[in-house]
Order: sequence, then C-alpha cells, then structure tokens
Amino acid sequence: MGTWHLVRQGEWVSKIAAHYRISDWEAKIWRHPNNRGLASRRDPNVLHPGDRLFIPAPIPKQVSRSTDQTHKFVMKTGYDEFHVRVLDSEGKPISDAPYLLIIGWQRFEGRTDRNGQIDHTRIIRTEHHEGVLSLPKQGLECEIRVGGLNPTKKTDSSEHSRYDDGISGLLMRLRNLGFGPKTIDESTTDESDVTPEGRNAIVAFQNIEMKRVGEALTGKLDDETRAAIIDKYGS
Amino acid sequence: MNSPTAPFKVRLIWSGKDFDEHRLSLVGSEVDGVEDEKTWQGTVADWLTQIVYQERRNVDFAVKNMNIARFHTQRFFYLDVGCWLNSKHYFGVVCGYNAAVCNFDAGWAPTDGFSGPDAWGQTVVVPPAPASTHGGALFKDFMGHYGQRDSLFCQSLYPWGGWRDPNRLYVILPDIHLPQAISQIFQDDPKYVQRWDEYHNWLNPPFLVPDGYGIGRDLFNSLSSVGALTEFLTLLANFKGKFPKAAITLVQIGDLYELWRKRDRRFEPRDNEIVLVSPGVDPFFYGDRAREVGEWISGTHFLHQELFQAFDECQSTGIECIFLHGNHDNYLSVPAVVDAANRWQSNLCGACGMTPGYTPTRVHQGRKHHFKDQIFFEHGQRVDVYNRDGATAGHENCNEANEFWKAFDPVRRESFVTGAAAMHVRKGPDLGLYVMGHTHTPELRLVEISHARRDGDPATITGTDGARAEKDTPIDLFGLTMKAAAVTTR
Repeated sequence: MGTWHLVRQGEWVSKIAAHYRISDWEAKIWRHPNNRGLASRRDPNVLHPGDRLFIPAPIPKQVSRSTDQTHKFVMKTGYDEFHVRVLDSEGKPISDAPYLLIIGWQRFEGRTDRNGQIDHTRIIRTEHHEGVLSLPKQGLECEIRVGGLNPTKKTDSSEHSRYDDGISGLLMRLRNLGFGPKTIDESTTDESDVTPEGRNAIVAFQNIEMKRVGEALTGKLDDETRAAIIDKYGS
Repeated sequence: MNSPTAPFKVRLIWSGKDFDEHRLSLVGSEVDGVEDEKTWQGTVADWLTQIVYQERRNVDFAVKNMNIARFHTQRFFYLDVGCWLNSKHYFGVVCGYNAAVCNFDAGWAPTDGFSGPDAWGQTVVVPPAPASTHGGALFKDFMGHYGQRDSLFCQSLYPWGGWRDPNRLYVILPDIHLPQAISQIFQDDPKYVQRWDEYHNWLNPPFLVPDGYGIGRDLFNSLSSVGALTEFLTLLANFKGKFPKAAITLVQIGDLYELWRKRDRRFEPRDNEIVLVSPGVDPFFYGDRAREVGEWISGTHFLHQELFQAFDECQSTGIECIFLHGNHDNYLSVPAVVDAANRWQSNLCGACGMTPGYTPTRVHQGRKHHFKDQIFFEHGQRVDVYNRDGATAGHENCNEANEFWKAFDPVRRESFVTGAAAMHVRKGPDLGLYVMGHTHTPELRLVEISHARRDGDPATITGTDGARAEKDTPIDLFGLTMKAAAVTTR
C-alpha cells in the first residue's frame, strides 16, 4: 500500500521522498504508475501546492549483524543542486561578485562567475529551505526559498486538489525577473485572483519585454505573455 | 557634456551609531565641493528609516533548474533640462522609460500627416527605441524640427513601488527667466514699447517711482527666446488637439519669471520657506507686499501676452500643466502673491477699460516639487546653499552680476547630483528619474549610489547571542552588513 501526499509550498519530489525515507525517489516515486499523470505535466523539482503525489509504502530493508558489537549504518540523504544567475537593474550579469548563500543551516560563500552565475551541487537535502542570498559588495540581499517556485502549466483536478492555471508560478518568475509583485499568494490558481500589484507587474513586463503599448497592455496572462515569461526566465 | 554612458557615482556618508538603528543623518558626500549637511539646513538630512535596499521580498527558486534573480542596485536617472534662453531652447521629453534632452529650432511647420524632414542632426545613437516611445515618436514627428541632444533608456525597474505609465508623455520646460520690463535692446521694438507705455501709463502715475524698471533686467537674455517658446507651446497645443487621447503633462521646472534682477528683495531670510517682508510698501496703491509682487508678475504677463496665452491654450486642450517655482520666482510659493497677480490680470481689462484689448492669462501657484510616475521634478535650489528658499545670497549675487561674471558661474553639478541622490534615498526605489533645472546646463545620466559610515564613527555589531557591541573600527556599510549577517543567528 502507500499514501497520497498533498504537496505543500516549498516541496519537491526528492525532498518529499527524503521525508518518507525513500532514497531512490525517481524510480520508486516519480515513475510509479500512480504518478504517471502528474509526471507527464510536472517537473519533479517544480511542484504546485495541492498536487497529489503517491508515495509507495517503504520496503524495510533487513540486514544481519552481530550482537554486542557496534555497527555503522549510513543513510543516504541525497544532495540537491542549486543554480542561480544574478542580474542587475539593467538585466546585466553581476559578475565576479562575492556572495553569501545561506539555505537553512547551510552556508556557502564564493564569487559569481563572469555570467553572474552561482552553482552549488551539494546542497544537503533537509526540511529547511529558507535562507538569504547576499551580494555584500553591491549591497544587495534577498530572502530566498529554495523549492518554492511554482509551475506554470495548467492542470486539471485529477492531479491537483483544484484547478490550477499556473498563475502563481508565472507571477513568481516575474518577481524573480524584477517586475514584482512583492507579495504573491502561492495558492493563487486563477487569473481572477491576481492582485492589482500583480497586474502592474504583468503590464510592466508586457511593455518592457514584449514591447506592447496602449491597449495591448492588458495586464492579462494571455498565451503569448505566458510564453514570453517562461522564455525570459528560462524554465 | 560628459559621455552619456558614464554614470555619476555618489557615495553618501552617514554619521554615527544611529546608522545602525536606521535613523540616519546625512553628513555629506565624497564628491568634492558638496556642502555639509548642516548647510542644507536639514532639508535633505531628515531622519530616514531605511537606507539600504534590503530587498525583503521572498524570492522563490527551484532546485536543479537554472534560476534568475534580478536585483535592483541603488540607482536612478538624472535629468537637467537646461534652459530656454538666448539661442538655447532646451527641453526635456519623457515617455515611458525613455528620456531625452532636446533642442527646439523655431520656424518649421509640420506638413499634413505629421511626417517631417529628418533634420535632427544632433541625434545621439541610442538603443533601439522600444515601443513605449510610441507617444514620443508621434510627438517628435509632429513637433518636427528639434534635435535630440542626448537620450537614454531610463529603465529603473522597481514595479512594486509604482510603475510608469508607458503612454504618458512628459514635456519639461526649463528656466526661462522672463523679466517684466523690457531690456534696452528692445527699446526700438514697437510692440514692446507700446505695451510698456500702455501698462505703465495706466499703472504708474508719474509721482510713483517703481524700483529699477527697465534697466538691465534681462540678464539671462530671455526676451530673444520668447517667440520660439510661444511657437513651441502652440505646436504642443495643436498636437494635443490632433491626438485628443494623448496623455500629456507639461511641467515648467521653475524660474519662469525673473523676479530678482534689479528688484529689492521682498522675502525675509528664512529656512526653506518664502515669507514676504512686512509691512506693506504702499498702502495707497499696493496695499501690501503680495499685491506689489503680484503686480510684477502681472506686468510680465501683460508684456508677453502671446506666450501666456499659449500656456493657457495648452491647458484648455487638456494637457496637464504643472508649474514649479524656482529661486528667481520663489514668490510663486506664496498663495497671496498668486492671488494678487491674478487679480491684477483681471483688473487690467476690467471696468477701468484701460487696456481693452487684453485678455487676462492665468498665473499659477508654483509648487515646490511634483512626484508621479516614478519621476521627481523640482527646480533644484533646494540643495543650493546660496539660492534655496529663504537664502538671500543668491538674490544679492543676481543683482551684482553682469554678463561677464555670469559666464563664470560654476555649474556645481556634484552638489545637485548628491542632493538628488539623497532625495532618491528618501523616496526609495519609486524615484526612478530625477528632473531639475536651475543650472542652465543640460545633463542626462545614470547615477549610482553607495553608502558609508563616516570614518571614525563607531559601528555596532550584533553578536550571536543578540548582544550589541560598539566597535571603533571605521568600516564600510556593506562590510558591516556582511559581518553582522555572519554572526547573527538565523
């Protein structure tokens, strides 16, 4: 048997697997027949709150060891990768800049490369995914949530607790791209839920990146605007 | 003018341990020639509650995939719209995220369809104009014969602080310094002479001697440019008439009138406000100072009827007209003066019937500043220790100046850029473009701001146990932030 896990904000498949003590998440969870529909629509690293993920019952592993002795068991927790490109107000890479990256209790320091990129491939998978990204020389800092990015694809209720229009994921990408809005309700699933601040962000994107003017500045996430946001963000 | 691609770099220096409490008192700048905070009389060095762009927004990333984080470095764009004097007819145009300093050549009329000859020889190569210049492109076509002296794409993204209407066109007029009296060079101009005689024969019985009328008042060579400005405003009103849905704001940046030159000072020495000296000069005729100064302004309107009619026409077509006051016309900040000037206007064609052909034109209250669409407009005297509101040195210098001395008046750009930077810090990221006049020298540049604690002042660091301790080491602001972040428990 197994259990259906209702995805919460900030969760992705490998992190959920770690919670259920399943190390090979890809084979045992993501390729499970019960998750075929979700897997066809989602990136395992970008889930939406409300997605339903089937977790098979873990199969206990039995090993024999002698009594009256101390034995060492190593549990594989797994690592995650983290990649980000930092840009300035004009969209140019902030290159060769010292940075401080804090994720939970983990701390990383280094310098951005010439493309403004920060890469870490051994982020220990834990429950704590909030942190800070600082560029002290530039006086820049933001609070980050690794794993908090929502998807952009529309889904129906068969894989989701309710219909999801991909709105929150699009707004999050707009925010990362510097357009705002400042606050996003991660459970926003419908265009009608977009706040005036969110509309302003969409209009600013349509104007600056899509070169729209006048009445074409709808502030709505039409198909062309969606595609442009995804293209600009890169995922 | 410096290369348009090299930004101004301003380093603001803040004092004391108050810095750590986010209560800030600006003491100065590393830029040479900037007066200390105390000479700004506290106008700029108010207590601020936030200095650093600590972006307290949650940025959500995905694992494994590539993410993007676009930060907003503390920067803004700075625009000085120059002057409309002598042969220089500078003005500013802002449409969406595009700003330009332009120079208008009079005497060209647009053909039907608003396509004009490509005569903008001075155009600087700029990035491909995004569609947000649609209104600006139409305006340029219609207005025709002006050159873009310099232009920049002034994208300063911070949308959640507000956003700029990409379809609103701002036209910004610089200092004009219109004097009331005619200069000697126009003594032979029958139009001005006749008006001058009409006005003063009615206004001034022979036994009243107004102070210094007519002698050397046009120090800035304003009168020769009045015709071109009238033509410009007429074209602007026609543009609005042809494009009634166009959203246009006309901002006159201050020093529209010249009310200092060859006039006694009628304001008291004060901090940052204009208070008229008292008592009234002539109870029989002027009644009080406001009425006296109002008459000066009204006389300017009478002498330059077509120009002020063109201003009124712009307003009547639906163009939003914003008038700021500068230092030379600081009296416009006093409502009683403006009221008196408008009453003089009415009286000129009223029951007295002395000037039956005259239509009164509107005298507008001068604002200190205007802030909208991420654009902050002010004249610029705020941080000028000689000329700020209430200072008297500027008035004295103006009356002692001559053409020779005027040529050596330094621009003091660093002072004004620093003052603009401090205003940007105060207003926050919502101030994307700062616009001023005052210097008579156009400029359009990016300004980048950094901060530091004044060398020698103690720094306060929070330890892992939450205790705060003072350190004497003078350190850079961001060095401190880094250290504090390193030791603070999260």
